Amino acid sequence: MDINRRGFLKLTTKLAAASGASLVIPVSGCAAKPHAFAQTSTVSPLSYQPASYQDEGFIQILTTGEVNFVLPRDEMGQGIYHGLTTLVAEELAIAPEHINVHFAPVDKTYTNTGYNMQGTWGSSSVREHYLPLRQAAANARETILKAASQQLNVNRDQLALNDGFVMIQDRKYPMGDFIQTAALLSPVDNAQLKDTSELKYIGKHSQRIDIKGKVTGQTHYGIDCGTDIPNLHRATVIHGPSIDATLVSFDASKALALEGVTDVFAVPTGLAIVAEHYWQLQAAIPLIDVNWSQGDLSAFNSKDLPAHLTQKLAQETGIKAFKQGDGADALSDEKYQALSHHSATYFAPYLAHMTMEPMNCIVHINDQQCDIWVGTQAPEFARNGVADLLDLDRDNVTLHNQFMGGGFGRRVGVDYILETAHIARQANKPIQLIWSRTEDLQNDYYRPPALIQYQAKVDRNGYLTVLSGRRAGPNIFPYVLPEALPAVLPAFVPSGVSAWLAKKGGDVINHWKNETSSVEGLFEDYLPEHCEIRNVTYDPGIRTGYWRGVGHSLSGFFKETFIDELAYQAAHDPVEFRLKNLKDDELKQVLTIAAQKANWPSAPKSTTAGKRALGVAVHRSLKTAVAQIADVSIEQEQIIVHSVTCVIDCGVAINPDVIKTQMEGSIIFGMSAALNSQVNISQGQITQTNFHDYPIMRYPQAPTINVHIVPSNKPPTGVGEPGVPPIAAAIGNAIYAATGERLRSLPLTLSTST
Amino acid sequence: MITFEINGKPITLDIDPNAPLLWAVREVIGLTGSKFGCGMGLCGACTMHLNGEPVRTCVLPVSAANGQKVTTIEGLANGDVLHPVQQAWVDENVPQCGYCQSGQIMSALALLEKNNNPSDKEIQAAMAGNICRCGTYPRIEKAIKRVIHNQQSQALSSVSTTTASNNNGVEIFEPISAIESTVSSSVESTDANNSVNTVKG
Repeated sequence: MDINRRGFLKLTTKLAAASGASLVIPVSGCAAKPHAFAQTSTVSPLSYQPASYQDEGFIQILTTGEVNFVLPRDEMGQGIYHGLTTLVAEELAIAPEHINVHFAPVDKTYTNTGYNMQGTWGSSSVREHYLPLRQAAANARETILKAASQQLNVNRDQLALNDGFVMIQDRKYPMGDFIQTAALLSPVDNAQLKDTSELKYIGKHSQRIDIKGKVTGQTHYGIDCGTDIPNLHRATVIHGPSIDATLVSFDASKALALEGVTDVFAVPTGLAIVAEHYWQLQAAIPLIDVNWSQGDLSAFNSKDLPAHLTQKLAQETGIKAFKQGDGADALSDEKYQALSHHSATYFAPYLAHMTMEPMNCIVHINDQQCDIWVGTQAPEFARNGVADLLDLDRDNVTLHNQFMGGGFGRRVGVDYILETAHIARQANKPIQLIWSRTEDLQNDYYRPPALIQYQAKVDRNGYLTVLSGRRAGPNIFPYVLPEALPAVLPAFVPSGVSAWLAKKGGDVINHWKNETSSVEGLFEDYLPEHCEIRNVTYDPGIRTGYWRGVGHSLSGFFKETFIDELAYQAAHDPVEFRLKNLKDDELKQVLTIAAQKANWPSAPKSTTAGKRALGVAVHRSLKTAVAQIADVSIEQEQIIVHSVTCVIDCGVAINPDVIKTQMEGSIIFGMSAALNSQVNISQGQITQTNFHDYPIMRYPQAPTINVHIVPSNKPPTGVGEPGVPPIAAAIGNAIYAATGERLRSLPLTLSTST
Repeated sequence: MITFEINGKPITLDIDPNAPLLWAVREVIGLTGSKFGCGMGLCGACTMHLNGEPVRTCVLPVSAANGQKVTTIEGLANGDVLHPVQQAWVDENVPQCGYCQSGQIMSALALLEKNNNPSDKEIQAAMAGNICRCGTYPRIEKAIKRVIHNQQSQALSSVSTTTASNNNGVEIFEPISAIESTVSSSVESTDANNSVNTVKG
């Protein structure tokens, strides 16, 4: 217990600093926080208080009855701020809105146990924290009741905790009255969790606790910080016109003559411009002449990708990613020669994330201290990366994480944070870096493109017997390793060694060891007797990254379109064919319910407006099963999605309404990829600059969405990503049912409309 | 010098007249509820009202506001009491990341102030300029319809109680007009020179 308390003491110093309310840090970036932290009195609620109940770093309860919760994961819209607080609220028997939530500082206490790093990805937050956080809160509850039992001299069984009060028959005492005693007790560490029948917040509808700030403009995102940092200057960076261009020379004399513009200098990633205000940067950019030298990528055109990838597949066998039975050899086995054979090739392009909040960050270096205000999914990568870059002790770099205006995987990358540190050091001023939308779109970590050649054999009863998939495209891990390694390696490892290891690791992934995210979701849901998946790496050198759903976001389209083709080939109804071949009961169940809810099967209709039909897809990703049925028509050569029925099984539904909103949002997010988006690269240059030429779904295109959650008592799984993978296939399969045209490339494009 | 009224309060800025209104409001006045999303008037995250009209302030020079009335998301609630449009957004759990929602609310409000019973097509036209990357559109639709519905039930009940009724949609926006009138009357009642804040940009 003493160790725990000392641990909390160490953490609370970090917490107070990270929350910007400590006296240790001379300036605070985000003053008016939307949560209760800033509204508390002069003393930081998270400073160590001997008379408080505090566990190893998540829950602190003051003698006033105030509850502080340190949120270990980051909020980018997915609702974890509300979700994890709901778990604590449940076991502490207090309404979620009465808990003060604080973003975690960088510390091993807040490691994402699913990945052994502090970061928010993989739809893992609820999955990893469900039991540990309930246990922490239940322990707090039981310790308080133990204290009350002593203080009131009554049996524990006569007491209950409810809404911040200790209840004994018809009397009630404020919980805070027992905190001093609780602080001296040895804490309960194995308290019983509430029984399902007692649950008051888990599984119930609730208003998100972060919502009021978001409708009043009071929520502070990273970009809103810094208003109280003296001498804060704004900066932006012009990156090279092609992805691997290098800066040769520049003339900024005209720009430097503008009011407010203070510095223009080269940084490793391009040309940095510093001014007092952002609009001065906007005015300065057109006045700067820059010369760049083109790199090898100047020969690369994204329209050639399908041909390159096809050629690569013809030349190389690639790395084995998965094999069962005789694998692809079964395709030529005489035993199966009589079976129906089908093959098809699919393609998906590079995609950008396009978070609404462009990349931005504040870095303030003050002697041997550095403060970072930023919204990031990877606070540990960022903190350690900046410490390495500035050659500072990691403990002297404090990261103040903020609400993110969208993440979707983009904010796993820390390039913009390191860039800000470079600029702040060189300009010798506190710097707020804000990228323009164009820089944001042209300097992303793109979803890798991929091409897959599937082959299958189906027996005459409609059972899938052999499945072979050969995928070609770039991988992601080689681009993540350089940023992830500083988070994994101890501080004493020199950055040069870390970079060398990253390079070696990248080579291993590209040439020897298959990366899971390149092939995930291509085969697992159906897995026939003979199955083989191979990956051929082809990487033109454009940075790739995690994009909501990662490998599944493409493989959901590839696999579910191919399965649809197999169903028609076998003269089966697409739902019936899937039910026959799916390997697990949860997938069969979500599909069955979706078919009922969407009135499947309904015959395709031809109306005066056009042709209309339903299309189906089902996919398990990140442990969550989702089925979707899209009602689609083709009118005046346009694809119109009228409605989508979505059924999800994610185990225990903690916040049903958050699950519904995540399904709605994922479907619409996935529809941008299905219908609108691709990154176009010509001679190494991304040709798009903003939302007009990289279109995102808008209000009039949004379908009606009906979400159904399968009741479950199984441990909860994530919901942030699994709604994305099925939608493109569901729409494409509906188009086939309506028109007979099979679309095998994203974005889905009718032959008549080109 | 650029002088205008922001959320009912007069302000004078010593600022480059070409600076976009968005950045003047965010970096000089310090109201950060209106967001930067595209810098080209394409996404709507920066939407404010200029004399009640929705405008994309990332491309609107601050000089265009000279002598005009600007309303931002911060000007809608009356203390802790949310504006009915904001309340509908809360009731429907609209925001996910929330970054675009200030702009969404300002666009919806501009529509509803002019038209108390918009058709689906009219709602689509009014909201098509605001992008939400999280895909909250179905909830935005529900929230807008909730406002319309609440206002209609309120109109009905006010008819039945024979209180002064106004069927042009003013009722539901009473809180905001109430704030504006309170603020402007308090401004009028004090020495105008003292109440003007001057900020150097």
